[in-house]
Parts: sequence; structure tokens; C-alpha cells
Amino acid sequence: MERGTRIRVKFVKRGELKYISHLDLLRTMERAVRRSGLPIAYTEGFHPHAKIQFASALPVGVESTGELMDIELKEEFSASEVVQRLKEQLPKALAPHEGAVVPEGEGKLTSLVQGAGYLVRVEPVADLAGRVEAWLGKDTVLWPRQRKGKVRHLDLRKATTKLAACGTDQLELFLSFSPEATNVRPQEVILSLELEPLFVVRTAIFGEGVLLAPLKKGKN
Amino acid sequence: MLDKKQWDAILARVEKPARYIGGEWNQPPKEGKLAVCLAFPDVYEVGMSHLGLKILYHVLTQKENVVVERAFCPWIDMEEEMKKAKIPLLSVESHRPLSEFQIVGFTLQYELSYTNVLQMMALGEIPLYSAERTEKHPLVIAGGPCAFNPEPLAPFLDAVVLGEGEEVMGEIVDCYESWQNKGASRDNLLRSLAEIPGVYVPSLYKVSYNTDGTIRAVEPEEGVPGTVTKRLVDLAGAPYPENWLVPYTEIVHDRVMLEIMRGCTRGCRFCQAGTIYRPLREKSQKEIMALADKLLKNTGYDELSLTSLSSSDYSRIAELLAALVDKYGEMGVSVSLPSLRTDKFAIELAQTIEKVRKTGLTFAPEAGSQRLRDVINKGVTEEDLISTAQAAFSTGWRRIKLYFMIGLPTETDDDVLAIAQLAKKVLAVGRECAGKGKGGIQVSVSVSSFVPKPHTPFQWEAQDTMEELARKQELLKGALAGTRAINLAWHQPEGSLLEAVLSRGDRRLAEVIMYAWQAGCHFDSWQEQFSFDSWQKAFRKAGLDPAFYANRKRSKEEILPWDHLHSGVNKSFLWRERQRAYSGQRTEDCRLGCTGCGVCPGLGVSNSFAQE
Repeated sequence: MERGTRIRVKFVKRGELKYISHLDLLRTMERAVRRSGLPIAYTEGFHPHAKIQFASALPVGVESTGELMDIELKEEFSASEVVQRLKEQLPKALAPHEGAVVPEGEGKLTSLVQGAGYLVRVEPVADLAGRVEAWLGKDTVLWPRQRKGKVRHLDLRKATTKLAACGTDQLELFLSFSPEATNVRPQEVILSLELEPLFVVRTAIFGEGVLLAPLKKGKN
Repeated sequence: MLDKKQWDAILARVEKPARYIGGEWNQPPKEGKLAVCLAFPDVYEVGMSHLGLKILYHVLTQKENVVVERAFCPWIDMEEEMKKAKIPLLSVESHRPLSEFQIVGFTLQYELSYTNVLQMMALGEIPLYSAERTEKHPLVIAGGPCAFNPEPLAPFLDAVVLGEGEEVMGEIVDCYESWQNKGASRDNLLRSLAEIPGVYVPSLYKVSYNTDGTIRAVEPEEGVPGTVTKRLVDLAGAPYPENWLVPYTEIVHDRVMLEIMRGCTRGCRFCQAGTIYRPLREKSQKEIMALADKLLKNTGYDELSLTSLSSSDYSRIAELLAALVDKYGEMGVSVSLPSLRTDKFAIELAQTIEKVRKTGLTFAPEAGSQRLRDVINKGVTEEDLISTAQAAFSTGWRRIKLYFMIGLPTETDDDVLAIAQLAKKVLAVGRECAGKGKGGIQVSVSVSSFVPKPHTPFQWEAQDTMEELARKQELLKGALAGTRAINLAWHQPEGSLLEAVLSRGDRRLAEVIMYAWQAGCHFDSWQEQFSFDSWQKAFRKAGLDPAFYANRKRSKEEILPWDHLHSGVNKSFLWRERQRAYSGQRTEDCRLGCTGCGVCPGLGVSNSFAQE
């Protein structure tokens, strides 16, 4: 491709828009880019797709303060202009707020991400910290997930790199995107603690690359 | 006030929460005192795909002092949640209960959505019967194709709009506003509405019946017009949205729909749309190109569909398609036609728009034999279909879908078997064109059951009984058994029977609809929700026989429930067409010469064709 640009954009997903699916988000972003008039690049082939890539699918019902997507443009653009033009075409609940040109040679966004951080609010529980400690003490926490009539067991413990109680009604949770645990949902971890998630927000996407939060190593 | 926390918890539990959140792109700023709710009696994805809703939403948005919002029928899971939480049906935009709107307008697109109209009113806490509503309640109006015989819903509706709504909608709002300012009674409002051309107020007409169940008379109250005639707009420059709501979740027709003409000149005798949308009016190519540009820019869609009853009949269709593909092809925008005529020209058109991807093509011969196609005035010959199929297969298409009906007037078993023969011929042509080793030729045959519709030459006909329809389906299945490259799809006869009852029904059926709804019937057009058993019980409870409505041939003299509602096409023309059908005589496309249906002289209009 001639002198194109890949721009990484950080945006929020808030309010009732947490209820749109990943596929809905993809369509919405593609349409916003088209409305903005930015010269988006398309894949070749019978069924051309706009070259937009997301870091990781956010589970339906989870808000986010910083989702990431890479947009490939056919011409050079500054990150600030791309952010500004997209902002004009998106509702506040999906507003982009930061952008950066992705340096040449940096891999695909999906290959860079390693995990994500969440903040969860639950109904107050007196000994939240104790319950968390007991959970972390287990070797495995298997969780059944039904899909098309088949049940698969995910190891929630293995996917969890951090779990900490903050007071009696909040939890901080880090999930790793290791291949075998890619899609553990934060709600599943909370449910396995016998808690009801009232509000879940993704606060960071970890990885090595532009705009990604550096991952704090070590399992607790 | 809606408890946000509770609402959020509900959204987290339902199957498709994005149906209920609103906030779509291009939402107009809300200001104004008069709140109108456009209510579509089906789920969000279906309602949002409806062009009429988009047009009326646009028209009302332009109107000063009016706030327009939308409401859809909540799916079963959401309905249960809302009932449990005692939340009434809310509009999508401001989440305001239906009962707080001044005007609620339903669109009647298909008969099997009637119970959803009751469902939405009930969930919206609006008294179901017009007679039970007072000055404090919303005015409930309806429009759409089924409004041409709204009698089964008559006691539930305050006013019904016949024909095109672009202009009359504003007149209704104005009428409502001046009534409100006067502070007059509800009766006064209904009377004023009845004075607007195209507006039918059912409660101002008294229907009496003969002992055999047929109608004796439909008598308007004093000062009320005896006949209500449909409204029409001049399509050139008619209001059309330049932007519209872009949904977050995928809807059925998730693309820019650009109406290129209204009306159809072909005169197929089974087709209601072919009558009620007369005359033919084509938009100019210039206007279409300008709208395409604005709509694509404002929505960000990458697909554009040229909609009408028969888009390949648009007189400048080849130029238009070429211009669109030329202008937008590079930007990754695909252009589509919803239906294709059965001729080689259509294949050329399809090639213009599907240069790369050759998916399937769909044609509608409607009947298997030439004799029966002449009866229904479907001007397609077997040679047309075979040569079209040949052109399609030899230019790379692999799948052809064919639409047919069974149960058409005068149909014999030979006509039914002719469907199988025709499908097999198409398959053979496909295999011949594809040659050896290329394989993969598929012919899909979709067979629906004929439903006689009001305002058509077949409005007097009896529908085949369910048993007869089932027998014919079996006959066809047998004839196609063992041909794996042809797959057959058909409709359940029970749904077709109910559709036939409701489409030509009278006011007494309101009781049946009420009983069926009370027994839990809604979303009847969704196979998994349809309970024919509950409907049968409702008929019995009301003491009415579905066969009286569906399977009975009417005489020429009988007063039909919709005789006082005028589509512009004369009843005498429809009868003449019926006679011609029985003698197998075709009637030409009215582009080639007037066939005397009465629309043009009666309504002071004429067919109009596209300019550059």
C-alpha cells in the first residue's frame, strides 16, 4: 500500500451502548468512518471489508473507558484529525478520545493484546476480601458455558491474573487473553464468587504497543 | 418515571437488548408539544426496515411543534420482564409510555400483526376500544396496505388513513391541534377528522347484516362521506428523508432504501399492491441520484437498494444502475434490486450490479402452467423463464429461486404439477449451461398459498380449504421427491387461512381478534408463536366460522366490507378483470394502453415516467 496510515484510536463504550454486540460495534464504527469521509482502506476480494480492527471483543453489558481499534487509511493523516472527525460522527457514548499513528512494523492489534483490567461493583458483602482470598487459593475454577447446546468448561482461575476486593462492594479484576482462556467474561468470574455483578467496566487493555497499557507481570 | 437501575437490570437479562435502547445516529432534536408515536406492530428489526415508517418519521420531524417517536412490540422475554416490573410499553426515543402521546399511529402491513396492535395498546395502557377512550387518551390511528380493509380492527381504531400518508399526516396533526386549542369533545375530534379526505372514522359508520351473515348496509352518520377515497401524492419532490436513523443492531433491511417509483402497471390479478398504489409514478433520475448521495453520506451505509413494486420496470433503470455503480462502486457501495423481471434484460441489469459476486437470482412466475399464468395475468411465458434462466446460468449464476402460489382460482392438479415440471426444466437448463464438472446448480422453489385480497379482481374468490392446500403441497412434494438439486419451501396452510379471514373480514371479527389476543395470541406471523388452536377457540367463542370468510365465493351483488373504501380502481373494472381471468384472457400492461381501471380519470392523475 502506498503511504497509507494506520491510526490507533481509543474510545469509550458507555451507558446503554454497552448493550450493543461486538458485531454491532463493528458496523457502527465502519459507518461512522464512512460518514466522516476518511479514506478508509478495504480488503481485496469478493466481499471487501473496511480495514478496521478491534483489540478484543467487549462482552455485552460491560462498559469501557478505553477500547482500542486500528483504522487503516489510504492516505496519511494525523491521529488528532482522525479522532476529531470520528468524534463528529459518533454518539458521546462511543466517543473517541485519544489516537496515535501506529509505527510501521507493529503487528496486528489482536496479536499485541495480552489481557484486560475490569472494575466491578456488586451488592455489599461483609467479608468480600475473605471470599476473594478463598477463591484465589483454588487451583482451578471451572465454569460451564453453553453454546449451541454444547457445554464447555472454562478455567476461570487460570485466566485471572489479579483479583482484589476494594471495600465491601467493589472488585478489581485482571483477565489474561492467553489462547486457552481468551474469552473468559468478567461476569463469569463474579458469578463464580457467588456474587451478582451490578456494574462492570473495562478500564484497561494490556499489551505491548502504542496506546496499550503495559502489563504488570506476576500472578497474585 | 422510569427507574433507570431497574431498566438496566432488565436490559441485562433480555435476549437482544439493543432492540430497546434507541439513541441511533441521526436522531432529530426533540422539541414541540404535540407528541406523535409511530407504532410498528412487530419487533424492532422488522419495524425499522419499513420504508413507510422512515418517510412518515421524516415528515413529522419537519413539522413544527411536533415531537415524533417510535414504538415496537417487545419480544416475549422483554414483555415478561416489563409486566413483572410493571413498566408500560415505552417509546424508543424518550422512553415515555405510549399512553402519554397525543397521537399513536399504527401501520398495518400484514394481517397477522393485528393481535400485536392490541398487545401494544394494552402494554401501553391505552384502552383498547375506541369507545372506551376519552379526551385524556391518545388518538389511535392506522394506515398501510391493510387499512384498505380495516374492518376487523374497526372498533379499536379512532381513524384510518387510506393511501399515502405524506400529506394527510400533517393534516391530521393540524386537525388535532386546533381541536386541542378549542378544548372540544372527542366526538368533535372524530367528526373533524372524518372531513379530511382519505381519513376514515369507523365509528361514524353503522354496519348491519343479513341473516346469512353477509352485509346488509354500511350507513354513514349524517354529514359523513359515504365513500372514503385514498390519498395520493405527487412523487416528484414528495418528502423523502435525506438522512435516517442508523440502527446499532442489524435490522432486516439494513441498507439505504431508495424508492424509485410507486405503483405498478402490470395488473397481476392477485396483487393488491398493484391496485392500491396506482397510478405509476417514477422519480426522476436526477432526484434519485441526489437522494442517493445524501443518504449514503449521512448514514454511512455501504449498500443501496432501489425499491418499488417492480424496479426493473423503471423506464430508465439501465442508465440509473450504470450511473450509480459508476459513481459509488469504487467506494465499496453495492447496489441491489429487490426483485427482477423475468427476461434477459433483467440479467443484463443483474450483471451491472453484480460484476463480481454472483449469488442467487429470484424470479416469480407465480403459476406453473401457461393457462394459469394467463388467468392471473402474470405476463411471463415459459420461454421467458427458460431463456432468462439460460442467460443467468451461462453468465455465472448458480442458484435460481422461483416463487409460486398454489390455490389460485381455476387451479387443477395439472397446474400444480406444472410447477414441478417448470422447476425441473430450469434445473436442466442450468446443468446444460454449467457443463460437466461445474455442478452446484440449485433451484429453490418457494410455494405460498394464495390469499384472495380486497380491491383485487380475486376479491370475490374462495380460498382453497386447508385440507386442499395441504393435499396440493403433498402432490408437489411427491413430484419433486428425489430431485435433490431442487429444494421446496412452503407456508403452513393455517397461517394462510387466518390471513384470508382477516384480509376480507368484517367488523364482527374484532371479537375474534380480542378473544385470540386474550388467549395469548400475538406475534402470529412468527411460526413459533402462532397458535392456530387458540384462534379456532376464539372463532368458536365468537360464534363465527372462518370458512365463511376464507372459503366462500362471494356473489357480484354482495356488499363487501370494504366497498365504501375506494382505492380509485372501480369495482366494475375488478369484476371485468375477474371475468377475463375465468376466460383465460390476458389484459395488457397499462403502459401500452389504458385498461380502464378508473384511477386516472377518477383521481385526476396519470402515469408519469422518469425524466433524466
